[in-house]
Amino acid sequence: MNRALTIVELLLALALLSVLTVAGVSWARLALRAGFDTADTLAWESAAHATLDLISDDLTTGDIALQGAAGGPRVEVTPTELRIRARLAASGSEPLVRIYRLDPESQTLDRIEVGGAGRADRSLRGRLLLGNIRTFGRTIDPDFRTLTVTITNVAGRTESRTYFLR
Amino acid sequence: MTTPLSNRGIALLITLAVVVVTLSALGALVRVASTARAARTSETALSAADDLLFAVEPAIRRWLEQQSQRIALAPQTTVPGLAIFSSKWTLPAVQDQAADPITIELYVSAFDQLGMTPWSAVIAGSPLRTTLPTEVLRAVTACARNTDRSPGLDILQAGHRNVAVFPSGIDLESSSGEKCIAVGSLVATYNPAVSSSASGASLEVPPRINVSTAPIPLIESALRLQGLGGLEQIIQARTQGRHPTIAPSAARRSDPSIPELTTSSNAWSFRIDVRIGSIRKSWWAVYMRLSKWECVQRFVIDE
Repeated sequence: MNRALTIVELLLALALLSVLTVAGVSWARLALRAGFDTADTLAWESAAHATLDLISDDLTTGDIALQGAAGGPRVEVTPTELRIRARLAASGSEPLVRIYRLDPESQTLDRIEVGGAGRADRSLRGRLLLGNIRTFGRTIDPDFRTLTVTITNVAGRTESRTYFLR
Repeated sequence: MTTPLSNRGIALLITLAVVVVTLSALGALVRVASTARAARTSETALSAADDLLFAVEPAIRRWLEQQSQRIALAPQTTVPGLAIFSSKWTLPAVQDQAADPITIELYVSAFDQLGMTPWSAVIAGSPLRTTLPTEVLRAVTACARNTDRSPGLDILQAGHRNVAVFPSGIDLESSSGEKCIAVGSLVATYNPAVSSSASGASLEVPPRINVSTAPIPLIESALRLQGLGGLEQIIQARTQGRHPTIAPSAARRSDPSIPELTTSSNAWSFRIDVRIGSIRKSWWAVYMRLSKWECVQRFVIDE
């Protein structure tokens, strides 16, 4: 014989359902937030790695052995910038220099090219690489001939790489 | 009034809701984890590719010192290039790291700078340029006019997308350069093989044509400028795999527009291809004999 649920049974069922729902939603929110946080971290890591790869390519490409003859070091660290002399000039004009610079106001890491431009286009050519950057560390070790670049974002995440200056 | 059937229905709905929520959360976590793993794998492969670029340098230098002076290409060759190194190996899966076996491929092709039409000859309008395809001629002339940089294929890479800039690698088995027709296999950025900053963009130092590697039309044009014959002997020697001999130059050495002829080269360029799993990276490197063989210019090939 069928019988109706008592009020206690109904309340218990509702309470159980509520607990299960709250627990499930909380768990899902936690998992999704962790997922999104990890995705954000991964996206930043990926962008930072791409920037470090770009520096690596700039260090290993261009006019390599003849830079010394043209005067000045190929890689230079100034208080505000990392400068890489990439290409010699054809006839007495400025060589092509690639500059990595942290803009403290906008907290962006930019890559700028100066010199060696087309004669028709002498404008400064730059592009934004990374945003929300707190520090852009760069150190040359003259004994081991290495360059260490460290990028830290506003959340405190740091990516670093050491390059051999060949 | 509820029946046992409707109770089961409610329980089923609750279970279904829990399963859906759990699976979607797990799916998000798995996606993030797999992205992280793929990013790590890709980063490791790129780093290994960079390391391989420098690891192959001693092999290239050894080839330049021991082999390059003995190269005599077949006369029917259309580009002065050959495959010099080809290797493929598999790294076994690393225990405890659940990594898959990785296949690594390394290919190196050499292109003689002195077997190509000199960049300066193209700019100066030398008759040597008539051996080049029209689109290559147009691309080099247009780009050289609009740059202050010393000659280099990066200028064309940035400016001209309608012509192949870097030649593809040459197959070691066939050693055929037919598929490698590009600016980089036809126009020499280091001929004359001296610093462009030292010589400027002028023709003060005459370019040199290597009769052992250059395509026959280019040699014919150079011989005509020199006022020399002997093309048949050159073809015959190269057919037999020998270095041709060349008659003393009739042209005055002070005339920088007339190329000198030589039987060996002091400037070679290389296409280096590295494949690690699904990651591919390629470079173009120019080596020149200064006091010893040195890499003077290198670019990442962006294809």
